[in-house]
Amino acid sequence: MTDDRSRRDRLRVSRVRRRHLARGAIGVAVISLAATSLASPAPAATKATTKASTKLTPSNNFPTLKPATGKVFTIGMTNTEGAAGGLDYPEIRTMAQSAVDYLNKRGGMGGRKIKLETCVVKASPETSAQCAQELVGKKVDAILLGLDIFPGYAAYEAAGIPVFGVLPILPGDYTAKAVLFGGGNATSMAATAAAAKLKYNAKSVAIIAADNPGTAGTVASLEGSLKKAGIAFKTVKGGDNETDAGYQGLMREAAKDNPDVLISLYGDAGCIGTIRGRASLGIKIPVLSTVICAGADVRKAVGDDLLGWAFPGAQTDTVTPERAILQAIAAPVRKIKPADVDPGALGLGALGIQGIMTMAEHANRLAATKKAVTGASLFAYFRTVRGTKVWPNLASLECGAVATYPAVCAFSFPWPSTPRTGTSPFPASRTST
Amino acid sequence: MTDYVFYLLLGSGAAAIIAAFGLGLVITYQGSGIVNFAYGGMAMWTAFVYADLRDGAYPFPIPGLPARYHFGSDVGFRWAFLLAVLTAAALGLIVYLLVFRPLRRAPALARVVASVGLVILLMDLVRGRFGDTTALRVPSILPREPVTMAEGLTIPRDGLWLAFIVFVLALALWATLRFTRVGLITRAAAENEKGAVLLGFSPDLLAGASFVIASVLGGVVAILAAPMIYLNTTVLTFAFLIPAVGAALIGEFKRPLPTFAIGMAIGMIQSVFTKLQNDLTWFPKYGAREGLPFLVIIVAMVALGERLPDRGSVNNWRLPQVPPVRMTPMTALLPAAAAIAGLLFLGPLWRGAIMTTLIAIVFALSLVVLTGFGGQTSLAQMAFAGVAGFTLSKLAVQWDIPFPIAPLLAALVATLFGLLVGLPALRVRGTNLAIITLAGGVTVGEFLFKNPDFVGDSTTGGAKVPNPKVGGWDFGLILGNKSSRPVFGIFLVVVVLVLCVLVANVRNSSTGRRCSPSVRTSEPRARSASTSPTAR
Repeated sequence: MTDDRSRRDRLRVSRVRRRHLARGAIGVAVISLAATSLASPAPAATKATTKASTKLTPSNNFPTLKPATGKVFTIGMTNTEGAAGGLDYPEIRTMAQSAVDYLNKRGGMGGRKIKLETCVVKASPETSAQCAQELVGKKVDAILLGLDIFPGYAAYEAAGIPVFGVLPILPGDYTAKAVLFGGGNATSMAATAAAAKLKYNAKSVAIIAADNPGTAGTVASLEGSLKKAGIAFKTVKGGDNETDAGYQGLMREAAKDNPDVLISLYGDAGCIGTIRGRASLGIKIPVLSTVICAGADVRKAVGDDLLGWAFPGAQTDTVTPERAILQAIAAPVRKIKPADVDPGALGLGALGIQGIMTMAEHANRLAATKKAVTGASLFAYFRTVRGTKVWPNLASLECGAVATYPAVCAFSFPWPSTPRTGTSPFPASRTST
Repeated sequence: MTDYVFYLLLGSGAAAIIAAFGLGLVITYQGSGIVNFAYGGMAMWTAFVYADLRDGAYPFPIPGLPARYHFGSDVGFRWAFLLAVLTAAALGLIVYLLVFRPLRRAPALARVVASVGLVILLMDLVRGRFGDTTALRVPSILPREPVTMAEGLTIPRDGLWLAFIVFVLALALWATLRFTRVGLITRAAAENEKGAVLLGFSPDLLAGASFVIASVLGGVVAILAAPMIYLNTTVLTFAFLIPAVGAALIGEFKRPLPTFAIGMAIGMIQSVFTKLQNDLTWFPKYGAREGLPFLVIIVAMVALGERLPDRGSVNNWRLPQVPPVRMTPMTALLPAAAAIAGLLFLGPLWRGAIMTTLIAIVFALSLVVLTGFGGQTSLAQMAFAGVAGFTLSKLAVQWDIPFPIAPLLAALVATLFGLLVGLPALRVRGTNLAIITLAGGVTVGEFLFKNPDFVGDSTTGGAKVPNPKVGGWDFGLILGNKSSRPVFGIFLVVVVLVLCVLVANVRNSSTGRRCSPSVRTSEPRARSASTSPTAR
């Protein structure tokens, strides 16, 4: 009995480590979530003021479409919920279902009615493999990965079921046979290096990161990108959980040689610590950071200490028909009126909407070419189409554009930043590029 | 030099938390003989209670009850502190009465496992009551204004204040243990529990009191430290507790002042790593900071030998008899035949379950040999499995070493790691060994599993392993358009059968026959029976 319990606990400890790695990877991977979602750096109370074009396009013409009546298109969705280590993202599934309900009244998937078959995984290879077997057994038309850390790619490929997903998490995702709408850590790090070179003309940078398995891969990606950009760098690593003094020490060591830019890969609690640490030391060197650090909670906590920080991938909130569609989809889940939905406060739920709507928009485009909409044809369409974007008009879709990351489809990132000086971190008049 | 002093002093806050937790572990062990791995988790709950009270609510930990009682506004520092400290005391008592008291006669490993279970419970409790707490901050308690000690040496003073408070607590603990009757009774019971019982002192009362006092100490320090850190489920539970175990070990779980000194040293040196990592070209790129406490533990245990002397407890638990293994065609082939039948005729879900079970049997066999036959404990088994897995990927993919040579070599590499971690087994037993193997497993994880050169990264697609093949036969799980192939499961059945026969032969060998319970628990008996404990 003792051995069984001790073995179970040891297995649990190793699963805790795997989840720790995944949690770190997910935390930093939310960068690409924000790059391909409406996560807005503007305070929640600020209304979107910028208006965009209202011309009807496949990304916003859903309200004009008739209810879907064609043969059912079944999407199998796997998502991590109720796993130990705090890995619990039911909102991705609930928002995806809400998007399906919305679409079935407005065109479906290229005219086909959509059915969402969901399978909950527990952040373990066994449960992911089980879900893969289950969905293969149900002969779904396509797989949409929510946040599934160990997707059963081999099972899906063996069964000929195409795989779509919202973003890569672990290294295997980048090279899988899949279409992933988000860029993930690797591509967002390339964007960060590009921002350092193009926006700041940086010759040297200092990287500040936590020393954990999830961040180690991200740091490796960033260092590789900086090398390609011809930028010298130094990496300063700290603990997962530092005291305020510890974050000050990291900032001080990073700024010691007066680099042109600091790059902070800390997220969550590290955002406030590094922001305050830089401010308390009077460091003026600009900082590139993860979009997590542009969240409303962080902004409220640090105020003007945020001046001089930039967040590659953050979006500005813009009044568009797509925004209204997003609000209409999210409203039933939040049980509020659509006008009261804050697109910037949907968190990871936005991933579920984004995945379904991107698939639906491109299925409608495919149907418009008079081709049959199947899982295989949709997958092939994504691999070859150019000039379209991740819904709702976010990053351009360029599946396979980088040979090293064949599964990744998004390589462009918007660019808002705070002013170097001034009183308001997020003036309403700024624009994104 | 000024820079190094700066970073040393900058780490005083974190170091004080480590030192305080070390003292708490010492108090708990002195009073009860238990190494409470849930100590950090208990302090975490107290800190969250304090934070919630400053937000105007008191959280209830019992499912079914309302989540919290709302006061309406911040109750203020004094009331929040008092209520949180009372909660810590109650938590210490409840944990002792409900979890550890029933396990007083259980083997040390059972108590270790129970404390790990308690950690998981406390973390889930915090998640349930506080949701995603990634940036929970509380108002300042200790003075925070920077103090300038010399040119270039300006540091926040709250860490220095906390270090001073913990030093005073360490002195108080030392003086209590040294000069008071209660301290004397506690030390006596710690050295000889039977003797304490004979003299009329209640070990239960001592143990319960030690849990309460330790919990209050941990709670007080967690509250004072809360404004300096960002409360979440892991920072107090693991990040500060694990180094504290190292500090308490070097203090032999009975000396408060060395425990305080080592705890402070670990925390301050971790802070200096921020500077050393770029000043020294040979500094490890991954895992150094978190791996340091574990290296300290391992080196200390090997160099200094037994750190947790036996308490001479009453009615010690005895290991069960290990029967000789009788393998017959029925006992070996019938389960194998059933597994193969399941693999061939059941659906993919059941096939997956059978394959997972077969792999788990291999892990279980390793524990049968180690714990069942050898009476030893190890919390590093999964780390060894990880080493073997990643080594296999390197050998098979990068060096093109074919099956079955690659997996055999990978197992050999894991064996070498096992030997390294097992070296301390020459000198330590029981909970000591559990701690060392835990430290060894985590050290392997810190220095190897964080390193993308070893485990792969996004450019390599992680660490891939090719299908096992012999000649034209592919035994892989997936081939072409076929997934969950039964042939892989049959391959696993054959491997498990071979391993079972090997383990049975170990038991039935002359060495294995000498593994009676009394020999496994007593090395002098083992030596007199001409069985070397180290050979086990």
